[in-house]
Amino acid sequence: MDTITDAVFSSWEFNPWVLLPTLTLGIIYARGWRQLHRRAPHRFGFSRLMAFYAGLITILCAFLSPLDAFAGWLLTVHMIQHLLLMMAAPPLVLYGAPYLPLLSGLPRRFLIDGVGPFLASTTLRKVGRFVAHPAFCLSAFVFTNIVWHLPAMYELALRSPTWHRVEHLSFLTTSLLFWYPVIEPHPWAARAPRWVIIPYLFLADFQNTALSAFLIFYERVLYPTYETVPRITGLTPLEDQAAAGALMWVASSVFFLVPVGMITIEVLSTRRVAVSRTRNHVAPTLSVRPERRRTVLRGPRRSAPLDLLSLPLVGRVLGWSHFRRATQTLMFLLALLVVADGLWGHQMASMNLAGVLPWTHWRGLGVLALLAVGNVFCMACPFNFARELGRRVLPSRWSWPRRLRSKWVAVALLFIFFWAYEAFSLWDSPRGTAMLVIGYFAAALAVDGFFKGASFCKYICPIGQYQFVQSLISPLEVGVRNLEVCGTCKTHDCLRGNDRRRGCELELFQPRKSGNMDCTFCLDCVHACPHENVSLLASLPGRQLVRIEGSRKRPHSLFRRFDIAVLIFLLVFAAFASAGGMVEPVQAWEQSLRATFALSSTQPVIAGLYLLTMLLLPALLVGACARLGRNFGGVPAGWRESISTFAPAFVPLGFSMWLIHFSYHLLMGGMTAVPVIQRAATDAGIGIFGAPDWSLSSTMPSLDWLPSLELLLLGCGLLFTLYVGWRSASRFRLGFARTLGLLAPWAALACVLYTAGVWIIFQPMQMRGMMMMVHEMN
Amino acid sequence: MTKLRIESRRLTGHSLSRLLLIALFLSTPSLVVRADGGVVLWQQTTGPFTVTLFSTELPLRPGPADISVLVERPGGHSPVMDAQVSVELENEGGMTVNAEATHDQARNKLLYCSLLNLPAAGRWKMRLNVSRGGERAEASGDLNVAEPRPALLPYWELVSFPPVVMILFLINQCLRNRRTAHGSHSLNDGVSLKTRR
Repeated sequence: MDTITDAVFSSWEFNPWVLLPTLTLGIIYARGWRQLHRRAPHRFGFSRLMAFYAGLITILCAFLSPLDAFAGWLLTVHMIQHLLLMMAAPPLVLYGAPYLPLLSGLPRRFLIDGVGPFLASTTLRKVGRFVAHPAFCLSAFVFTNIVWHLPAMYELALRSPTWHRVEHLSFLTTSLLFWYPVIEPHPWAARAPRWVIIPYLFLADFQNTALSAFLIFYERVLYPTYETVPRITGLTPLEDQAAAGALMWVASSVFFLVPVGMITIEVLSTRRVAVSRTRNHVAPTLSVRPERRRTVLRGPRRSAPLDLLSLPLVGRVLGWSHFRRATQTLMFLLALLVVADGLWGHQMASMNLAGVLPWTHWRGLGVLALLAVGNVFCMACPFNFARELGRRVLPSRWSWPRRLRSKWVAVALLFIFFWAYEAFSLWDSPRGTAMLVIGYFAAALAVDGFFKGASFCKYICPIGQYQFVQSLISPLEVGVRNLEVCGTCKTHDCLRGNDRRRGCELELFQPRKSGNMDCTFCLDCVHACPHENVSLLASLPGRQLVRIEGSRKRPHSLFRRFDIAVLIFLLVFAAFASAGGMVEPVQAWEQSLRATFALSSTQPVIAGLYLLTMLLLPALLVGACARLGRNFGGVPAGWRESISTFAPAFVPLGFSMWLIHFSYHLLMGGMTAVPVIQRAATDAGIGIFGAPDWSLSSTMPSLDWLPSLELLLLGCGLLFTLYVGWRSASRFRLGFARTLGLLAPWAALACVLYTAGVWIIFQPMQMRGMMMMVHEMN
Repeated sequence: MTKLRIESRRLTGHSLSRLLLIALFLSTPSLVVRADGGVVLWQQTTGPFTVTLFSTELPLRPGPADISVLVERPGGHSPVMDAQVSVELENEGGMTVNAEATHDQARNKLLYCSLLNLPAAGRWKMRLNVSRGGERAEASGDLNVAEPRPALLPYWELVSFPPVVMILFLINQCLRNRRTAHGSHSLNDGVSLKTRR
């Protein structure tokens, strides 16, 4: 910082926890305002929009500007901050008439199903009548203002960030209440004659004047904190207090008395009164239709999903026939580098491409891609070259055995993989990782070399199964643009293929396909469809699950299959077990068990723990949930059906744990790739990348916001799981209590897993793939 | 009761919905925003500087801690902006923690801030080294680190949000169920958001 002035004016805070909710609010308002402006431009003009945004910006300034940074040092600055929160922001926000725009801007289903019942609640209306009364509004405002200016309370807020937040919250809330009868934002129904607002404002001003005068004329410093902080201006604490009082007096009086004048003129104008009454009572825009009490809540109309292939640039790139081959080539070259460095490079994991790229970067970026895009890994799968080679050099003529056409082989392989990863510390063994990749290439070559179709992808590949299940959360899905076109299609090229392109190797028929399960994003169906009716469609993340579980008759048999349910549960429990395996208390426990049983290594302990946490315990818990759910809900469904019904609901919770786990490694060890690539290049005689800078591998980034983000993600995963579970239970069309009974055991299981996840987040972590070993999260 | 009064009641009933909605939205920033300033731990005049030590919250506890320093010329209101400040902590067991304090890490850019990870509770000896050009000064004092709080306590908002949403969802379903049981399919009692021209 060059000067003090520079320092003061650069003391802004770009806090995403403040900016993101405010931005969301702004977007919702703008969305609703746009619709209302089209229908009633005179009521929702640009001035409303501008006022609302000005209000939001005022609030942001109060919280994020230097005012907040220096409020603890100068009472005057603190007073300005409070005036912005109480006098400036609320009238601006309310002038924006936010009620209708905010409701209209919400997603349609959420508005009707989520907010609708609350708006219609009679209990809430009774409370509303009480709270919305001007007498209550004034009392709450005055009470809050006086209580927070008492020395004990003010000091409490200055010393405790939590109480400071409570103070700001109460100021903002009561001010919104206070200004409501004054501004009368549309649609407003007056509870008292307009002239009542004049004494209402005078009373508020009287209280404000008394409080300000006390601050100005009191001969001692009211708030001792301001005596201890450094004085960065020439003001003494007492002068600062008097200045703050004067500011409060003058500024607040202006805010109170200007409306008094305006309302007086309004009241004295008989025409205005008549118009006002007519507007407020006779022609309310929240129109009541006694003759036909039907829902008319109008949210935004449901729009068609975004079609990525129809976008100008993105569509051309994704629709390019060699796009997939290009991405696969890139991944194949990376895989070759990983294998070569793993076999012949430095055998310290954190210095080797095989120890860093697959376990830190590929997993982390893969899970982020699943959340933001879709099954990108299968699209760019490097093992496809081995599959293609197998088809060319080997017979590739047998059909995959009928008995093995399920996910059971993949389930077994996944379990073995998770166990081997921990038991043989694959993350710490570049050579082991390289051998694993080579084994993968060999398996892909052998399976697709002898068997037709994509048997390896569909029935064997553990990575593919993980991707299939997690991509149920993804926003992108290969789907049909118009189902009616498919109804007229006789050739079914998307499935069978044609002379130009092959059809779906995984035997997914587009019109009946539901969700991303078993879809490798190969886009063969897109290119094969002669009607150009198959595309890459985007929707909200997780929408697929809601759609699958919400449909009365689940259209696809995939989600009625028990093997798929087991696959899902294995992946969910594996998410928690593999994250738990890297925390210190679990590792200490493994060592103590080894010592207790006098074992030479921890291998049997790890095997036992994985058997327990991925097979035995899940089997026991899931079985118990199915049994209890049937009993509580009184559903005649069999236990297999019950399990396969609720299994997809657990995908979000499992996904959130994978996301937390892998993105944690990526954030902590992301920079490790730089020195490792430098080292590998130097070893290969390529000097352009320079000497390895190993400090990047041993420096822990300071991410104090990470636990908060992880808790948020896990909480969202839990809530989404419970919501999808509720929709699954609702399919049985039981009453409210029985639906709740059916869901209760599954909800309890989800809560147990969530609790385990929270515990894991706060444990010291083993820093795999980095040069330091343990990181204390908190 | 006249039709007008019934209508008025219905509409004022929505006042709460309006207010709650706005308050909820607008309160979000105030719930999550970090507090300003900080608490003064101690102030010393040493050599050519007066140093004031701040912390975000008292008492300090094991885990991440925000220690900030204001460096001033004695007697005046002139903060020194181009000094080098380092913080050293040592406890009775000989454990040490060192960190550089910089403006970049500070919210209030007059301060030099260091984000430390305090490993244990107890009494810590703190030493501040301040240098600017050829001027050097050292200030020292004690720092009491209290026993740790439950790890989840600082994250109570995030931990409590799933149960709150669950409760709201259950209330929502109860209300919908009640209305369905009463034979009404309406969710908003015939209230339309359609705006008249």
